[in-house]
Amino acid sequence: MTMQTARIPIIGLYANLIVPIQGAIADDVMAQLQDDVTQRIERGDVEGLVIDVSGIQILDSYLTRNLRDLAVTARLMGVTAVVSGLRPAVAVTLIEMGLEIPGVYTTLNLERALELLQETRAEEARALGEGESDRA
Amino acid sequence: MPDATDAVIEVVAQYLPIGIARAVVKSTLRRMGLPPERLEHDELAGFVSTLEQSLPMYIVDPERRGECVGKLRELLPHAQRSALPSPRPRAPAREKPRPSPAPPAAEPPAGGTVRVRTAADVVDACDLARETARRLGFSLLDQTKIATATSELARNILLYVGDGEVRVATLESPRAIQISAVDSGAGIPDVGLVMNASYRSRTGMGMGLKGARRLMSDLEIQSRVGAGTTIVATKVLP
Repeated sequence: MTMQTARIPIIGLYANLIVPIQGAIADDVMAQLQDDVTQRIERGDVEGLVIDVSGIQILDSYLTRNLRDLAVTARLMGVTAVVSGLRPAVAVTLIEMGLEIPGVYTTLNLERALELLQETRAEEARALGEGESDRA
Repeated sequence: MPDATDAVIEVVAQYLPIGIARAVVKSTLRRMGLPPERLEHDELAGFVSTLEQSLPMYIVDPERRGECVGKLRELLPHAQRSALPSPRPRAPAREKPRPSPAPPAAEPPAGGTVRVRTAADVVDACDLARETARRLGFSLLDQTKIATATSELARNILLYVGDGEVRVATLESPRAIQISAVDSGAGIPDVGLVMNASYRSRTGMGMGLKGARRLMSDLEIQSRVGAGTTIVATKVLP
């Protein structure tokens, strides 16, 4: 595994942000990522955030905390956060360590994450529509 | 002359995510006892042949692997190319012994020491632990657990002391991997407290050492205030 020392790219796709994370991440890169993501969210139009960790082979408590913070920050800003692509060995290791990522959706892969965001949005729209017809 | 490592990584990265490509190349260099990031062109042939042996682990599809091997060999000067066996896609390693000239029959255990002063050293320590675990015959899952536990130990050194060592060793009867994290920092005043179920540190999720203990067969902490900490974690091969 190598160290990710450059800025992590953020991909905008429709109303979603996709953040692919590979390898280990230097502390300042993680801080920069947090800044970048929150700024993009602040600009508006963002409804979903996908943090894709399929390139990560080791998820220790430190990195897990960082990812959770990023996801929870996004959620507090009204954005649905999904962590996708957790490798099986990494997932089992997390469980065994007693680590969880509470309050964050996880999906098998990026595709499922985008589908989930779409479903969530459709459900919200429906709930909103029903609310309005109730009032009428 | 430019370093040949980059050219090799560039080829492997056509078949694997760049991060994994780098790791594969780096671990191969380490296995050959070559310094990282400094591959001389006259060492390239030996390096490529060693790399080919570990590729089946990463590029599972034999055709893609054959293609990758072909491209790797194109990097070699003609004189060195002919010395290698033809790059036919081979059956998965487990089903058939490899016909390569130097079979890594009993792969010697890796092991070694990494000085931990930067986040990159933490990554090196994890790589070393994973590679050693792999050679000992640990499953992919166990390799991940061992590497993760090593990450916790190395990360602790970095966060709380700033300088220390991670030593990776193999034990015989029972066959086991042993990770030792040694520092001469302030020490842990209350070892019982940090291993307590409800403890939360300021940096992690309070799960660092506890998590590492769960991932390994055994984890022992020796710490004296002012004298430093030694943590020895062992995992026995099932």
